[in-house]
Amino acid sequence: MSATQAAETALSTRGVRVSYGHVQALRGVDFDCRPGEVTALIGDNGAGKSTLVKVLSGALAPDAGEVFVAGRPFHATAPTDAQAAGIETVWQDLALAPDLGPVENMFLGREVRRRGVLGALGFLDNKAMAAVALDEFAQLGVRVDARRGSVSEMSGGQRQGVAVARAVSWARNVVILDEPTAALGVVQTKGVLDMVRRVADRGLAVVLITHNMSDVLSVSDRIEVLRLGERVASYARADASLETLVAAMTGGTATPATTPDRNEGAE
Amino acid sequence: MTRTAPSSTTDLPPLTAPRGTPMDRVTRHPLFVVSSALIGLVVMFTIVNGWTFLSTPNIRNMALAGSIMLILAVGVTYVIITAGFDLSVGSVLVFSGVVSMIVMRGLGGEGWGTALVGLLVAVVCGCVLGYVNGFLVAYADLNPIIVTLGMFGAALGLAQVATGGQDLSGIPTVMAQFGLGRLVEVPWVVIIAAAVAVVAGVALHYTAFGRHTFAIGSNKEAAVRAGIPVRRHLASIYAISGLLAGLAGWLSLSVYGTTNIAGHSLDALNAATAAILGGASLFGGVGTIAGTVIGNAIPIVLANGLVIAGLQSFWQQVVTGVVLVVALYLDRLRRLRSSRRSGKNSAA
Amino acid sequence: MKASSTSRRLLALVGAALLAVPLAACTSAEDGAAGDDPVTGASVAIAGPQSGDPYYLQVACGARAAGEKLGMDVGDLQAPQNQNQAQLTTIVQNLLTSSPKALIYTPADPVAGALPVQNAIADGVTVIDVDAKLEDESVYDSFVASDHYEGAKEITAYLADLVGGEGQIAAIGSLATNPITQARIAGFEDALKDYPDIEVVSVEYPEISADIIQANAAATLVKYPDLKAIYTTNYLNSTGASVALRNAGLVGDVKMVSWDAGEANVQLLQEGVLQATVAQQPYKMGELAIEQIAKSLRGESVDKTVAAPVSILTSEDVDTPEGEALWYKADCAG
Repeated sequence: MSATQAAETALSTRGVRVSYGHVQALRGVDFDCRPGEVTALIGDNGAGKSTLVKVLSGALAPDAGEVFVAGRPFHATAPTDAQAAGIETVWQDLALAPDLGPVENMFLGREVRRRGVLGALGFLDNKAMAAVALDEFAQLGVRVDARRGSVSEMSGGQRQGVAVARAVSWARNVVILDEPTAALGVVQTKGVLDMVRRVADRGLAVVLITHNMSDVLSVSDRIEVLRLGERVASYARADASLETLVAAMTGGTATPATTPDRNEGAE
Repeated sequence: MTRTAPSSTTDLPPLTAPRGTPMDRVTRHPLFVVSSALIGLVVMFTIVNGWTFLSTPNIRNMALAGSIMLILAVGVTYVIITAGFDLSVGSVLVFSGVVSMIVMRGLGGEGWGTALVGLLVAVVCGCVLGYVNGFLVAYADLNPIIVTLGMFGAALGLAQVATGGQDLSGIPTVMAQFGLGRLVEVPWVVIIAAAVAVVAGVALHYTAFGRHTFAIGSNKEAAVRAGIPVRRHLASIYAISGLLAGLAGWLSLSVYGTTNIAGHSLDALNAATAAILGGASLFGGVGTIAGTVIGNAIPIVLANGLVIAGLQSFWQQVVTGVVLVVALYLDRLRRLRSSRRSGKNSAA
Repeated sequence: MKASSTSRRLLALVGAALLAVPLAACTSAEDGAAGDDPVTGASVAIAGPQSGDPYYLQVACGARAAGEKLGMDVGDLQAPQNQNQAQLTTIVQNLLTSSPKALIYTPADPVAGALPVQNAIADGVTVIDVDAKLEDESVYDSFVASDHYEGAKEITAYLADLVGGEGQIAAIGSLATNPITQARIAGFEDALKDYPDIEVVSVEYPEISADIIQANAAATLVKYPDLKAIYTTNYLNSTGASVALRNAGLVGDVKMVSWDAGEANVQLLQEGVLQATVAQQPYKMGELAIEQIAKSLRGESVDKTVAAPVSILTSEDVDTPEGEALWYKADCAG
């Protein structure tokens, strides 16, 4: 990658290959996302999205190819390596502990300890954690009462909000969201998408994996299309329409149309 | 964490549920049901049996009767919170006591030197056996019920091999005095059990170790992804349960003066009952030490009260079973009510 | 790949070992046929209800000593851990598959205990019921035991005299369904009919757990502050009750008696917490069982019931030579 390219992208891959036995899930995938932008990653079933997400989040090391974080080569053996590199992922199952509250989940595995001897013994600073968590929730518009109740008592949208807020508050470079609106209703979906926009506005790169084309068209700045294990297209939002995206995903050609307005197809 | 200044003041987080009156907060508290049950039993027995029930000697009896079981129950609470189970605590208690007794008899001596060596031996024995359980559950991925059931048999069998099948006596004199001794009228054994409960409760609810314990029981996969060393943690939880069983074994020696090999086969179930009565969930992720203390007290109060009331002790087991089922049912109702409430109020 | 070949070899070794065991058992059974006297080389199996109790070990010790004098091949005591009849049934069935000439058997349950020996006599096995009586008398050839009922009466009379023939007494039994417990309580209650000024205020059957027995005894002491004595039916109960007595500061004021002279009760006698205990003679029972087996194998008539002697061991004579002879030893030296 050239120096200028490197400086621009938050997370990139070049020529990544992954095989499961005889099946080639990824056949040399290139991927880019930039800070402050929402990059949607789309593709039909079997295109290799989930495998690519595993590579991006550090859960899987590619058989070949390179991964770059802020232009520097990156090798992950576990998701904690990715977290150390500033990449946070929100998986579809959310990975929340249902019996714990939003604050506890926010700091899961990264609890803030008290100062001094007590802290050395492992005593938690719940007040500090609650203050930070409440602030995060407020900024991201996540509507929960962080002080009470366990996560299992919340609605799907609230839980999504907690999971995203957790990833966002720890991420330094990239937040990857795997199908965040798949299980949500219309109103909750809008809440999540608003949050996604806010996250990007903070300067983080957001990678949004989704099946939902209207989500893609409403919130993303760039769209990367995967097909049969390769990146087949990369659009700026302005250049994309539902037809072009579907055509890219399925391998057909789009009927040429006038460049759509920025907000068409979103609401 | 990356943070910017708050973007707007209009997004004040609303509440998931109305706070309700202070009375509501009491009745909705997770320990409400079991505490009420205990208080109800005490009141009932005081009415039926008169003030002897609340006399100092009687309360002291009940406290002493529940102490060793409480120590076991505390360890088992930790295990249940991780969605595990420990059927072996009674046998580990026996085995640790046997080994401790053999060592102390071998050393001879009636003083604290011998007694403390015995204590160390018992605790280490228990810890080692507990760690074996934990290793098999955490690293070999075996079902905790099967593993601890195996340990239940193996530890007891080993104890019988070591003693040739008969109970051993002959603890140092200071231990016998300690087992009967009191500090300001409170038996030492009760003090130790209380200390164990306090330390365990504080660790469980105020430290990262305790927090991780809940996380593992609530969603093991989430804990793994959060970077918590789940396997190491789980193994150490079972080691703690074993360690406490070893401590209980030594205390049992000091109270009874004998290894009592045949007398601990039901301990694990009684300990688990105490934890579950106290609100620990078999699915993991939920439990308190305070609840376990109360849950442990209920069968003790029942046993004592029924004898004084003149009812055959068989009824005690029946009533304990009924109380357990009722407590579980009421707890389930409380959970249903709370989730229905949050469902109605979800806005986002 | 290395691991799986190693484990395959291990499996083969284990499999071979498992096959070898029944083969060895078969060959040893064959050796019994030599000699003219049907007693010589006869194999005798022994099964009891609890492996942790020196009492049943002594039965086996006595049987082995007497049996080996006659040239019999006497096996070790086989028993489950905790008076569990279901497990004991399996053990007895396993023992009977190797076709011993005789079985010395102590059941845990008087009715269910008959199950594994239903067909034993028909299969040519001499069955001696020791210590705990089976209700179905047709499944055994001879019943050897202390007379628990008479022994209970004897020690209760001793206890009644200790308290001067008057006052309140409580009893602690163990398993209420166990015939031995039943006999010991029945003897206790019947003996006290001769003492009209003694009142039996409670008979408890707490769960067999150290803490529960202790708590039960403690509660009884609270309920009856004028209690003069406690009658216990075994050493677990006396151990639990001793803790309750110590905690209440009533050692010596409340008299206690028990059954059996294992290490626990001997120690309590020496400390004066226990005043007397019924010393059975399990060793003698083993000897008497062998006697009956020999009679049966030689075709002589067998005594249906044999009473083994008992003695009362008190805290005064526990350390005398005569007293020490009554202690239950853990090994077969005595």
